[in-house]
Amino acid sequence: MKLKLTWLLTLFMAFVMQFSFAQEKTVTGTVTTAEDGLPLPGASVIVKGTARGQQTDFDGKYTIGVNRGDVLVISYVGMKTAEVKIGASSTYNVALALDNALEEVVVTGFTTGNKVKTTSAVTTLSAETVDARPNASIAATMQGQVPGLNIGTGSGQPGANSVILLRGIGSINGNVEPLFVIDGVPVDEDNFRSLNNNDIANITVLKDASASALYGNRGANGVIVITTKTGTYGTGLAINYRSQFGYSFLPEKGFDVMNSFQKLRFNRDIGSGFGSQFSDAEINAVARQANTDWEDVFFRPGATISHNLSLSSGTELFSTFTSLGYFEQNGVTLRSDLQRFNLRSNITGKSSDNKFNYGTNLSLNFSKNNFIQNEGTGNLSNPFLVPYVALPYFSQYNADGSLNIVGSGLDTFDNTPFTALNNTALNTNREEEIKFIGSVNADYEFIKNVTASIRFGLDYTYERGIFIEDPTSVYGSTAVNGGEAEFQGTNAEGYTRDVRFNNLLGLKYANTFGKHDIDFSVFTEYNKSYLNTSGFTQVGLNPKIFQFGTGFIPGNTFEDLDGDGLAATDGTEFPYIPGIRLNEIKVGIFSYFGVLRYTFDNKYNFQSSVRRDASSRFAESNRWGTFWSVSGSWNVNNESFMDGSDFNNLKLRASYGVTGNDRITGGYYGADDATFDLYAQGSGYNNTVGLFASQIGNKDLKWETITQTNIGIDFGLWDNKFSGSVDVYEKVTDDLFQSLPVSALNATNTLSANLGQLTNTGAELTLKYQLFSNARGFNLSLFANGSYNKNEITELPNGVNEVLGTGRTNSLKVGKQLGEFFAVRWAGVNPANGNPLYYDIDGNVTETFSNDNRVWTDKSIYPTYQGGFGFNSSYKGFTLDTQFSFVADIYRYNGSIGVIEDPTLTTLSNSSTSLLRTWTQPGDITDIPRAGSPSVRNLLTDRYIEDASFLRLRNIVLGYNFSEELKDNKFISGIKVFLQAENLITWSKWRGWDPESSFRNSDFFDYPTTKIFTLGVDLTF
Amino acid sequence: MKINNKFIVLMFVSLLFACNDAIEINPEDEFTPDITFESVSDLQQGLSGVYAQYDFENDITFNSIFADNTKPGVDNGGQLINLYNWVLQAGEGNSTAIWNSYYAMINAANRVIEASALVDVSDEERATFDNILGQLYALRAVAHYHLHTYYTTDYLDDSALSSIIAERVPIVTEVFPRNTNEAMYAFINQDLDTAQSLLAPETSDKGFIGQDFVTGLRARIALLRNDASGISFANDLIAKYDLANPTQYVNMYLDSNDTEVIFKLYRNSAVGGIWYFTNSAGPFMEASNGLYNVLNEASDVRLNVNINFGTNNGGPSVPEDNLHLINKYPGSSAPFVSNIKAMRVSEMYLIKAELQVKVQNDLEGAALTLKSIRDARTGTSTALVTYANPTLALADVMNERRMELAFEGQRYLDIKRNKALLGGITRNAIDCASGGSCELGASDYRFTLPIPQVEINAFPGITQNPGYSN
Repeated sequence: MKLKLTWLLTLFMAFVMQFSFAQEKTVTGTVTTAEDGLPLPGASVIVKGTARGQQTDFDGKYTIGVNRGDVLVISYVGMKTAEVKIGASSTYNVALALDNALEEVVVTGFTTGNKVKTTSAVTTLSAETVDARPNASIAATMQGQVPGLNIGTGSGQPGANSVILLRGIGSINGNVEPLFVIDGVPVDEDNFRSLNNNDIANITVLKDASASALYGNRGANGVIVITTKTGTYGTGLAINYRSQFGYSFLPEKGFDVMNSFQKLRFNRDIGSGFGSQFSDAEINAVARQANTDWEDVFFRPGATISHNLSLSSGTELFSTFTSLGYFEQNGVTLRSDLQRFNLRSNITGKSSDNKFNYGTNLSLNFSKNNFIQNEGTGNLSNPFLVPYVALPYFSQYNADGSLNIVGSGLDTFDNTPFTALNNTALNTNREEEIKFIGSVNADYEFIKNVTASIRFGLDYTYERGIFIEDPTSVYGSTAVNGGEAEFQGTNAEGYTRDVRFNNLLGLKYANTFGKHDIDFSVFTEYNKSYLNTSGFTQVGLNPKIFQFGTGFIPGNTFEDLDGDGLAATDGTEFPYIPGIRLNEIKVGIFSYFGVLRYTFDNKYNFQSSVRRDASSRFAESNRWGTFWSVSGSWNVNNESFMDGSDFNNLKLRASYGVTGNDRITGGYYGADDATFDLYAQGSGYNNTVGLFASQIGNKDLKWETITQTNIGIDFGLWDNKFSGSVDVYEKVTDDLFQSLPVSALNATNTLSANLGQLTNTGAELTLKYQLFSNARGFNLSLFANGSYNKNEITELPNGVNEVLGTGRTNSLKVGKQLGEFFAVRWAGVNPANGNPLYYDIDGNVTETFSNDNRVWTDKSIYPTYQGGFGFNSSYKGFTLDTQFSFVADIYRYNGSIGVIEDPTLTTLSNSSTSLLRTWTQPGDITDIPRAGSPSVRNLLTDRYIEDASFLRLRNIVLGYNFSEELKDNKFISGIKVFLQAENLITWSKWRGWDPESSFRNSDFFDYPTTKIFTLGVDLTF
Repeated sequence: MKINNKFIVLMFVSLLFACNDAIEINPEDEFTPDITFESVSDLQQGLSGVYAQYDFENDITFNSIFADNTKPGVDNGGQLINLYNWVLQAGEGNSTAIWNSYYAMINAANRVIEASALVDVSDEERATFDNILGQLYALRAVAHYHLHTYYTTDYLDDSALSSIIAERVPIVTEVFPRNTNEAMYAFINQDLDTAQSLLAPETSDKGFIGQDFVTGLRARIALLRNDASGISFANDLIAKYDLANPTQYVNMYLDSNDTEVIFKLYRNSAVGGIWYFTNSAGPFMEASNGLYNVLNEASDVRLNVNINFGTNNGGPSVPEDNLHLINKYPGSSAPFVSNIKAMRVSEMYLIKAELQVKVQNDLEGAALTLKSIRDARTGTSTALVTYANPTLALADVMNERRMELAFEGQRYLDIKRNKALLGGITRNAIDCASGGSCELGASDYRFTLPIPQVEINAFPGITQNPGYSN
């Protein structure tokens, strides 16, 4: 009852104070910065213990009614809060000092600590680096900003997922991406398309075991903690509106295909294909008639529009942040777009004695994503393939000048561009998503120094996938029995509901006595997730209404396909029976853990954590796992011998710990029942139902274990004018999830089991230097970060030295990197006969290709070096910010070039202009084999393995801030306009559009990430 | 302080509730062992699963390609060429498939047999239950029989190594040494005894195993062991089943006549796909000139049954151009989709004849037995042959067997069984013109299959057959 009473009393007192006793007097004053004495607009001035307060105006002035003896609390973000006791005077001018410690907060998701006392290797990104970017995905904007964090975006589809690797790849078959936590809620790391980057306050990347061990079985690949914006206690209403408009474009590419003249002459020269018998006059006639650049037909500039409105305010005990977002981005090819709406409401509140705090973070998002089909595949509806295989001597227009989307109407190769256009224009491939992320938290200091806390979080995703082939489209018209049946077309929908619950209870003791500073917390955490999927596939649609069920042809419709008047017994003459599916998967983890932190004399810090996790994945084998860490740090700058040194910060850190990876097959819901023996029903003998053993459970299965050692230094010189950190680490993954050979008497040859070891060692560096700093003049700060990571397979199953795969990068060898190409070396073209040449295993040249001649190339699909650099500058109202990112020592197979240089495809499709260098007679020295030589691109050679390293001007923003012009405006307090370019320039040896990928081993006409130009405006009221 | 207590209590309650709920997740959407086999009808479905894993296509492939009844076809783009060229090592796919699929079938049978012990059976269900169990034991026996024929070096040496006896569902990491022939024969016979005691006295559907199949399998095993009892087993079935006349014989391969069928395997996928691209009916393997010459010389109903002279399925064959299209699985419901005739009474005649030569030295009896088949195939009375010596008699039995059982998964094993007396594989010169060797000598190690690499990976200590390096 005590709490309730206090609450009531507080409320009562507030009324009493406000209404019974009018303020005695009015005081005024000016708030300035201590550094340069300039006025500070927007600072919060509150009467302590009340909800009364206001903000300073543009001249830093305030006026407030007070009683004698009141205390004014003056605060501003980034400044130290000051308190002034009201006496006899009526003017109180306050100078606020910079608070460098404020940004130095470390959020681990469970605990929040002062950076001075931390022992962990973490990197924190502030809102400015991610929030106004015209990129639909939060993950993609982090590229190049955190040393050791590799973001690979493999597609330019708006909202596309990125693959995220922290400190190298730590698993062969398991999950390799870090855990993402938004406002305390663990969320799907592959789905950010629906989330609004404007809502982000900061991002903290937890790299070493001291922080990630807190996440136990989910922390093996590090943790990325995202915090969204909240209101600030005791500030007035602030309204911000931000809008951007712009276009995205395809980047330049390093190859070209032939035009009509070149193609027809080439065909004649090699004596095969269309026009091979043509005379010059005939070639000219055909080529003049049509010389289509199919890129012009399939690609377009994609428009981007965004609007974002946010409102924040706070009283002394309550604050809110509300935002509303709209984002629309068209891809650079037809039928590719993303549209989304976002709502967010973040609320924080506390009791007046500061003992009880609570908050809610709710975000509701809806997105609609239209996709191209068969991205990155050889299917002829892939719009990034079609322009390069489509023949240039066909016209894209009908006789009346309209776009031809039918061609011959057949699904033949010549008709490829028309079929692809037909598919784009008539058919649908769309996903609609509702995503809700919400959390509620509360904590209460119920005994002095002892705080109990509770948090409940939810990540809810509902996705509706829509796939429709119009019965009149080229593909749709052959959907049922190859076009034989009366009704055609396909309408398929899939529904996915993914709900992830998270519940955290904690108890914390924190105290400071003398030079001792200690806190100790214990937690229990409950995680449970449900994936429900269902869907249907209907073939046979009424062409009038094919989008809805009303147009579905009933399943009992008899189609007399063989014309015998009888229904076939095998059901083939009932082709319209729809296919349906329904499934549910559940996974869960229950954990308890404790963290102890101790600091002595602000110099020596120690932290230790132990976590016990029980995973439903290992219910029948190793249910409970123990993960732990110990770490320490030494604030050297606080030692007396450092007095008077230029270092304002110098800290040595070391940590060691063990984390786990329970997602042994990668997916969040994968291997949910791998410890169980299972049966399945299927087609049995003679069209009956049969029961089959479908899985042999592994009763010894467990998580993959990562043991990480980290040593680091943080430093700051000359009042943090120059600051940075250096880290070195070793990460060892044991118990890798791989195949164990078993006797065929089990009805299988392998069982998935925990075997083998992988090691990542590396170093990271971050530097920041404030070159010029003048609040009203020229400011320039430089920043750079970089990392080195070496990956090595250190142990393979059953003690073997080498496991050879049949693909380009799936062979494994002890001492080699994961993802290293194992290939036959290409030796060029034999000048004598134009045949391809290879090196055999001993380095001798041979015309015979054999997989036995494969060698290790020391080229991997994962990079060794990664990083970014740039500068932030401002002069008066102007700002110019750049951010470069780079990735080096990374390779990929360029399958796109392989296709357009394939000599066996020249009669069928268009070819690279490089084929104009084809070997023609003995003695020719060239890199292109003779016409009619065998195809090389699908052989395991290094001919198309290319260096995919790149340096990219990832982001550049030129802005102007109208603060000077607006200083007397009472309505608008800020206007900023900015011109922004994303991916403006890329330097790379890669011969495709885009050297960046999702760390795939091969490119095949993939959707490149685009250049985006936007003009934006930012208004504050 | 009351609210404090409530807060704490609430926390503990949710803690306890939470714990088991998150980690006790059973795969409710899957068939776990405890709910899979609960009734006799579940066992019936399990049995259906075992039959479905009887991949006799692997036998048909190996026996036709590795011996002398096929040659590379006009549309061959490398399909089965290595097998045709007798490239055989531990990692070879077709021989590995034989090992894997029969052990998978045995594993499936063992699972249902073990589960059957836990099923409550009412009196009305008893007969059905027994018949299911009988079929399971017979299926387990026939799978072991097939494995034994490929993996033992010598059928007649009881102490030679056979394959592995799998009498139960193993613990997954268990590995097993090979068993001796003696143990293997004993195990198969014991399963057949069990099957015989459980199976229904009569079966109406020849797609399912009955008593006659067990008898036929006993005859096959007796043949491997030169055991005279095979003659009486064969005689039992000869007395019961008529040989098909020429019309019935043609219809049998069109799936419309079962006169001489003892057991057939239902199929709804294209068996003919072993030799054909079934979409285009392009043959990548064809019947050999060697086989064609033998069939052409006999010139009875078997020529047209084995070689396609119709216009369907890419036909007709053109013998003068050495184009011989295999016609044993022409398809009934769809092209190339035919049931597999897994045991026919004519095989019993051939077993009887072979044993009459080898065990009884009854050359005249053997000639009479063969005459029965020839009379049936020609539809007329053929001349009785007189043999000068047992070798010639055996060669004639083998010649008849080659025609009668071509493309039915027997040829390689027949040569293996009699190689000591008749020699190894000799291909017609035209058949091996495309490359590779024409002769595989009687002493060649490749008449015994290698223990597959996948098994060696699991159990490096297993005994490999002679001639193969691991």
